[in-house]
Amino acid sequence: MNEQDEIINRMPIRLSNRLSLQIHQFPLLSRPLQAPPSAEASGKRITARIKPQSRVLEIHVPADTRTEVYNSERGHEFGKGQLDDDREKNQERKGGKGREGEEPRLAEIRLRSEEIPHRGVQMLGIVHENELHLHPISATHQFRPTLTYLDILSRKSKRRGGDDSDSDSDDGPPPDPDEPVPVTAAKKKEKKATAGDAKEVQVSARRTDDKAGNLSQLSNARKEMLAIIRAEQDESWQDLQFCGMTTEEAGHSLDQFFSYRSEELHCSTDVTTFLTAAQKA
Amino acid sequence: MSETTSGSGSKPKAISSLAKRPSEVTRQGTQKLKFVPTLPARRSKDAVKIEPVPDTIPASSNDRGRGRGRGRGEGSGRGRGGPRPPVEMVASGPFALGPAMAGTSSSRRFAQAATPIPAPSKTKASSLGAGLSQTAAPKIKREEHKLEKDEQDEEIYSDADEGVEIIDMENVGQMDWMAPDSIIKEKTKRPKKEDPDATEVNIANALDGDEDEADEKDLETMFDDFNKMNYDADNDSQYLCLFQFPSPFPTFSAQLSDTMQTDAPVTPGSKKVTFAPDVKLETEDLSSTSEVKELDGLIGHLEVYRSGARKIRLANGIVLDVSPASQPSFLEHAVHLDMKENKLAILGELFRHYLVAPDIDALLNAMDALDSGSQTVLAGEENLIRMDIT
Repeated sequence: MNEQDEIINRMPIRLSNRLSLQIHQFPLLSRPLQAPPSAEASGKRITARIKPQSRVLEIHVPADTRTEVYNSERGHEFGKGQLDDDREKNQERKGGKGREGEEPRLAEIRLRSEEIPHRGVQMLGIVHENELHLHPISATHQFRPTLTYLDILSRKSKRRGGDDSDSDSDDGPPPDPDEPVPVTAAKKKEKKATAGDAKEVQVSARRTDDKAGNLSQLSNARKEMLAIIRAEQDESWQDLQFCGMTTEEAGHSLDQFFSYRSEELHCSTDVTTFLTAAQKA
Repeated sequence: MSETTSGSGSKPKAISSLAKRPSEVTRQGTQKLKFVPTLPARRSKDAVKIEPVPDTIPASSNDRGRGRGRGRGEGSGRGRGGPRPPVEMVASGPFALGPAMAGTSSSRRFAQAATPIPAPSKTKASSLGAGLSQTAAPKIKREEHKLEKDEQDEEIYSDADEGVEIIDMENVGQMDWMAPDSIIKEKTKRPKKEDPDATEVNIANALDGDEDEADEKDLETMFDDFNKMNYDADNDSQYLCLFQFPSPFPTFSAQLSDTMQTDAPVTPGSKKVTFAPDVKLETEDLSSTSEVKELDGLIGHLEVYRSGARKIRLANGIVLDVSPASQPSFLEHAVHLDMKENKLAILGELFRHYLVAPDIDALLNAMDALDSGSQTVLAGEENLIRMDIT
């Protein structure tokens, strides 16, 4: 930097931490998050819900159901799938008032969140009256649409039989290498082995032995993962009131964001802590 | 034989096929390669090729117009063939343009965005009569400015035939709330020297491909950002910026009373220090064991230099450089989650990302001071040779 670099503007920075701020990212969305005008006209709003312990949020955005841009048949099909999926996971929305007729319709897009770990310290800054107000951000979540109703539907169509030669569903996820090979597959292997070499029989037997031996080790990690998933599924949703940017509540929160006291805060660390803390870590 | 027809054989000629005929390939060595340039699909050629094929349909401007019409789901105008014979091999889409139209799609015309929307909840009435709302979907703040530049050369297309609506591809986004966004074309006639209006508006240039320009423009745009944020007094709270500080964030405490000062400085900033990426993050509201000291006050200054640099100067000689981080192209919300009242309030959309890093000179000087301070200073030490045992 040259020494002649002059300061044009110098604005004070203020810090506050009253609120619990989060950043919500929508990687697949490049438009503002709004309900379509047709849905808003019929009274639907964006809703949200949270599982606090698992730190998962869901935002439900009503979909545009005009006939020009919405396929009703598929809507009903998926709606049924979604209802079944909800019942399975015990997250059915209670009080389904205002449902269109008797059949459920897929009338909303569900965005599910994933927490993203922070690198460094994230702060939200707003310039207000020539002052920069900073506020720490506690979490960052990325939202993507969940299509779990498709799982249910594909499961159903798979169960219906193998005569769907042109169905879109695939055979499901490949079998876990840690879990014991399903009995039918093992039997098939043995049958094939007797038809061929004696060596083949040994190989297949060894494989199952290996699997039995490592079963406990490998699946510990899997057990933990499954436990986490199950805990998350067991936790129930808590509904949240979603206040858009222009609502009063949002304005109120924004007021709380700003720092109001103008005293200077005392700093107990200095710039070397950036390096020394990194060395310790 | 192709060899004879191609004359001397070694001279490549443009033929329509790259397939090597057996006569051209010699087992040992030389293969006579025919280099065929792949001709880009020229509109005039396509129109010329396709027109003679349907003999029953006279090649006229009507066909082009019909193919051009992009009504809802009507494709190449097949549905309208009342008096027309059923066999229609009319080229549709942009290639249906005849040579007269070939120039139009190369012209740069920006889709005219709706007026910039500060409050995105402004709903547009949908005209149910036409079936489509004929209104654009709202765009997030960052992109509006790109579209404000509008060249006034409107293309006048041939008159629409009965029921056919001619729509510029760039205007598709305007047709309906759910319509897809058109790809924004770069201006070819961009003025070399940007006028002051353009610099103010040219905020999204960080995404442009030109790297040299981008660096300069980043500083410029940052300059304008802060100025704009300052002077736009009416809406100054709408520019939310994300600052990524290095961890650990300096610990601050209020210096109201002695008891406060002697408290262990567990501030939200220092909480984040200890988090490795795979450790659970605790928010202030959800964790019951962390001490949350409420902070509110002045911590330093942000200095804006004429060269475009930004520095944050905090207490205890902490100097940090502010630079623009890579800007995400998607939507981001800053949100207040209030678990006590079960409320999720959107504070706004993030406008810019900034990366904050310690100023290296200040950091190194401070490290030197720290190192030298920890050793006892003997008189006349400067004249002695110091042995580095680290």
